[in-house]
Amino acid sequence: MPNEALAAGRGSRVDEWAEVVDVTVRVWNVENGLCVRELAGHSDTVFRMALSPDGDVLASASADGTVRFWSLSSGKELLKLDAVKEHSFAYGIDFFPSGKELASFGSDGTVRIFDAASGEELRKWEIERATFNVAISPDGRRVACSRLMAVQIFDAATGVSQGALMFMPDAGLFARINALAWTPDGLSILAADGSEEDPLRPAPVGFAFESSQSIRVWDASSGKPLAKYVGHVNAINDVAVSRDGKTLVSASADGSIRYWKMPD
Amino acid sequence: MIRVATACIVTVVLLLSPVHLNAQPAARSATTTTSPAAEDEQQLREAAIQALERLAAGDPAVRHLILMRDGDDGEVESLDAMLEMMRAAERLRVAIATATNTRAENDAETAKMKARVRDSIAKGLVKIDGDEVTLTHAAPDTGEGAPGEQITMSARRVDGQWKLDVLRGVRSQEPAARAQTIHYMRMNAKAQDAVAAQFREGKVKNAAAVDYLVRMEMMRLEAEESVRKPAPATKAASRPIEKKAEVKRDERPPKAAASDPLGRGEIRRILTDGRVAAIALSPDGALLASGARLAEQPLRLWDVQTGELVRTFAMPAGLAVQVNDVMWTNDEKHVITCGRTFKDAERGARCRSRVARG
Repeated sequence: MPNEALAAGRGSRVDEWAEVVDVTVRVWNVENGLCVRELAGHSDTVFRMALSPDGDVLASASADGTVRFWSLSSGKELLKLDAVKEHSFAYGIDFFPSGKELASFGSDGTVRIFDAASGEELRKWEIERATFNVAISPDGRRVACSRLMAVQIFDAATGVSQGALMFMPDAGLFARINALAWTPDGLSILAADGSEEDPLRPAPVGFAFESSQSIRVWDASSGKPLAKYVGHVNAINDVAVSRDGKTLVSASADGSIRYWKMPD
Repeated sequence: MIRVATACIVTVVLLLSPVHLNAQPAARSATTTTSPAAEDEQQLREAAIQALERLAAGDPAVRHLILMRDGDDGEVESLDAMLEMMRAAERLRVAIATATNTRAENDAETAKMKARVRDSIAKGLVKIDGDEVTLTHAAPDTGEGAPGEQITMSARRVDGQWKLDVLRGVRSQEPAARAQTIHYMRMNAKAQDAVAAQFREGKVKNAAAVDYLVRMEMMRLEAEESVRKPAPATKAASRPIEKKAEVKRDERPPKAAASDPLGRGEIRRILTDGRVAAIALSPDGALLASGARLAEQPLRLWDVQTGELVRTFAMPAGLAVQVNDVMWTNDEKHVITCGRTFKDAERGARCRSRVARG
């Protein structure tokens, strides 16, 4: 693509969000509620973050196509990785438990594994463009990817698909499976679909069908469905599991945060 | 398995793009030893292979069909819709390439495509037998059936034009789901054509925005259709998209209410004014941080035991903050947020009130 087209491309994306003031990552003090640090550098909205196991390095994935590493103690930008092909977004990132590697996933359909210290791209594999999040298993050996209507698990070292595809038959045709999490024991995986549009540019009314509004839990090795939680009335954006694995928390565009009892 | 009747023969030739034909004169001059008729034949054949190749290689539509389950009839309609969608995809691709590619880039693309076709022939994936071209494509493993299931497509030349003749190895789908898929593919075709027109008219130049534009266009079409002609009650069961769209027509984005019954396994429900985008449990599990899109308070801390709100945060004055992700530091003294901040506080407030109304 010629340079003019590239420039036009960038330009139109910025125009689209002319009202955006900043895409700063902010650190907040829990005691007094004040912002204690601003990490500025990205040029487009920041989708997700990941924290290194030692807690000092924060990685952020952005629509500007880069993944950046920040030192939380100094506030400095440590590394900038071009994590996707041109014109693509970096959607999801996760540190491996060793802290030595980081996995990123972008809208170009590629999972890339980077060296967390040097930023060198170690390996990559293509999945599918309609993939929206990645989550690394607690043992660091598997990468779960949420793709169109399904969740798939890959061997983190080889990129080879492992086991059965965990299918979400009632997921909407457009639905992004944004919410994805492993249980702390690494035995099960959870996902929920949701396709929330930007509140400033809402989709026409009548598009709630995009989401099945359910959370599913599968056995990560066999792919056997373990549970399904229904109740949210709009897209589910995030899920989290308590450390003891007994409680599941979900966040939804319906405005509610819900606690659920995990299957025994 | 389906056997597609000749009734559903669809021309593949429509898939061919003028962009790729751009480079044809050069190829023609290089093959000086062949007669004009043979050249034409060669070109047509190459074109058919390219079309089949594209059909098999990059198109999500093939995947849609692979995801289908065993069923009875209706395959012809499915296939028809799929091809309609793929032709639209090709028209869109051409429009984008014409709007953004240079001649050299088009030539390079054509060369690449030809190399791939030659490679496929060498590997035996494409077979040419007189007027019939057959291509075998190993379907990606969806986990839903036999791994590595193969799709075989063949094109036949009829009256000087290549037509898609047979498509084998695709499983069918239950009627309701199929209707939805067909509906989706038809909408997608329309949306792609609309976006292609935008590229041709020079209204859009950003190839990266294509997915987004098509998506928005589909939503617009869906909305239009649901208002214009609500699905008849008798057909509602087989048109799930329309049915739901109709019900939601005049509603605000769905909001949870305290009065909604608890779902199975639901222990507690916390209601907020915004759209909750992200949550994070503190490392000790005592607190939950939540981040929201354009809520009055985009960042909040909750006591996990009692469910009570324990802290809100001082947001920049006059700005509307959208939180996409939230995270705890290991020492539990800080939470980190990312997303974007909007200048127009008034518009942010409007947005908030709309969300709150819903």
